[in-house]
Amino acid sequence: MRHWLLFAALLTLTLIGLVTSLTSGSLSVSLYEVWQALSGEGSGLEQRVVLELRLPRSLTAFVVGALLTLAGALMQVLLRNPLADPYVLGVSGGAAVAALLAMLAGLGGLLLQGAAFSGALLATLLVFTLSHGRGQWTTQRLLLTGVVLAAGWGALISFLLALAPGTQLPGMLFWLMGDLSPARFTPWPLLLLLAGLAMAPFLGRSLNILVRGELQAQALGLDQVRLRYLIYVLASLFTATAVTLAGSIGFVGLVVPHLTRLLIGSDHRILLPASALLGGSLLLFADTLARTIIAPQQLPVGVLTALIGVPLFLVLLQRGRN
Amino acid sequence: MKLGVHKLELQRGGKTLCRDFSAEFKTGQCWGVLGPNGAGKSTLLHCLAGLYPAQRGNVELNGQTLGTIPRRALARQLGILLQASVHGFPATVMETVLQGRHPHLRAWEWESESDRRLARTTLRRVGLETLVERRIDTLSGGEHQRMAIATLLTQDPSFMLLDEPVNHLDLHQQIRILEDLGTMSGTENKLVMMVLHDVNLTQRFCDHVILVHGDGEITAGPVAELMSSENLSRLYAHPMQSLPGPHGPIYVPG
Repeated sequence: MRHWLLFAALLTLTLIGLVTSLTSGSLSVSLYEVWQALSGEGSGLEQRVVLELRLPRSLTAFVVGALLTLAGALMQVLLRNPLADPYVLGVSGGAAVAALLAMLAGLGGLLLQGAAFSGALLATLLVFTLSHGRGQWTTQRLLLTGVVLAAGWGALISFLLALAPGTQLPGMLFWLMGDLSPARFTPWPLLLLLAGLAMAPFLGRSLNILVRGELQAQALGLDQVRLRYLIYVLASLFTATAVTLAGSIGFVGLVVPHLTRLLIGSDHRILLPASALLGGSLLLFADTLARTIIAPQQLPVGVLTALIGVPLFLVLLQRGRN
Repeated sequence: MKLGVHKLELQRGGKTLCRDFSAEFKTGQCWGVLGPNGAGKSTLLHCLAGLYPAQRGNVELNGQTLGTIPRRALARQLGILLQASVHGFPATVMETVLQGRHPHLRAWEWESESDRRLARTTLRRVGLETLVERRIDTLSGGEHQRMAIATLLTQDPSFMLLDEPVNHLDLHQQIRILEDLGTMSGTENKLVMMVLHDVNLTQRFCDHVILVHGDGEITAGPVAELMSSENLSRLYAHPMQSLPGPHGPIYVPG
């Protein structure tokens, strides 16, 4: 019962986020006009703004936020480390290096996205191969390999920024901070998110067990090696997709899983879908603010996720302690 | 039902802990495992639970080689209490104890009311019925240990291996838990095998004993045959005397 109320509240939050996002902006559109536009009866400018600009961007923001949150929650389980986020193993670093290279080469649009996605996959494969060693795949080794490679990617990013001509720098920095303005809606990230959510009830209890340590998990009948491979692949795929769509938006993947744990506990069967909805909504609100707060100028959304997320998290943490 | 080892050889960190060890452990028996620090008691238990590979020889559960039994099926029959436990993210006592039902449930299934009833029963059994909704990071060492035992009881396997079950327990709880485990082997027809450091508790509650010497020598047999001041003196490399006591001989280190 408690769970149904929770999900009803989260869905309402998502809906409010979506409506706010569709109605606000430099062109004010009323709720009724949004409804007309969505049902295909709108007129002229409003219809185009809603359907071609705001709706794709809002949906992308939600999907990216949800994917990052899922990836963060999975990484925290995989590494059994509360400080893990989707980027801790360098997936975003690989994507960023590839994306910056593409920008330097003058590529944009789909080619840029393709480069980012390939970079993310390359980084994932690199960590996986190097941390595998001879047979043993320990959490410690995975974490160390990933963190060291992430540092390497970071150095490459600085190197590329130092080389880049001044005219290209703002675009590159925006990409690095996370930016949803080039978002065009494609269905496959949404499908990936739905697939991830559909897996949650099957994986959730096993994740709860895995958190208790590898030996205990095996003693309770879990094939932990196979599960850890699966988590790694899923988390990397979610991260790669999110980074491809919007650059490396920080904070959501680290904090929203914890935020959800503070609210509802750590049963992953509930935690995964609930945190995905919360992460999606948070990014949706943050993006709406990012493009309205100092309109017509836009802020990188990653700045706002942190500005909203930090106080929100600290307040909840303080309340939870009492 | 029985757990058998055949010509078992175990190594850890380059040291041979067990050589050419064959024995049979049957349900209905209560085994104590004794030996000095680092002799390989935990390694032996882990090997019997399929968590540590044998260098040579094999372990069989009812005639089937342990490695060929899928983990989930194995966990329905055999469970182990580990010495060290890992705190994950905050969870309640009830949630943790219910994890014992994991091997009995299908991937998508939720714990049923009867699973919860079983968990509540085992929590009562270890004296934690008032702490059901407590968060596990607020438990004391002894309470945490009893919760881990309750998780194993909720898993409800026929073969129960316990690595130092009385760690952190006060005197009363030690006797209470060991009495329960000892009688349980008979009344519920389970194999109970536990690593203990107290020879007198072993003498009192176990009917069989494994002496792990640490140099590769392991002997297994009935308490009446193996427990003697000579054997224990040799095992711990420390002189032991035996005195008559209310539950049989009492061993006192010299």
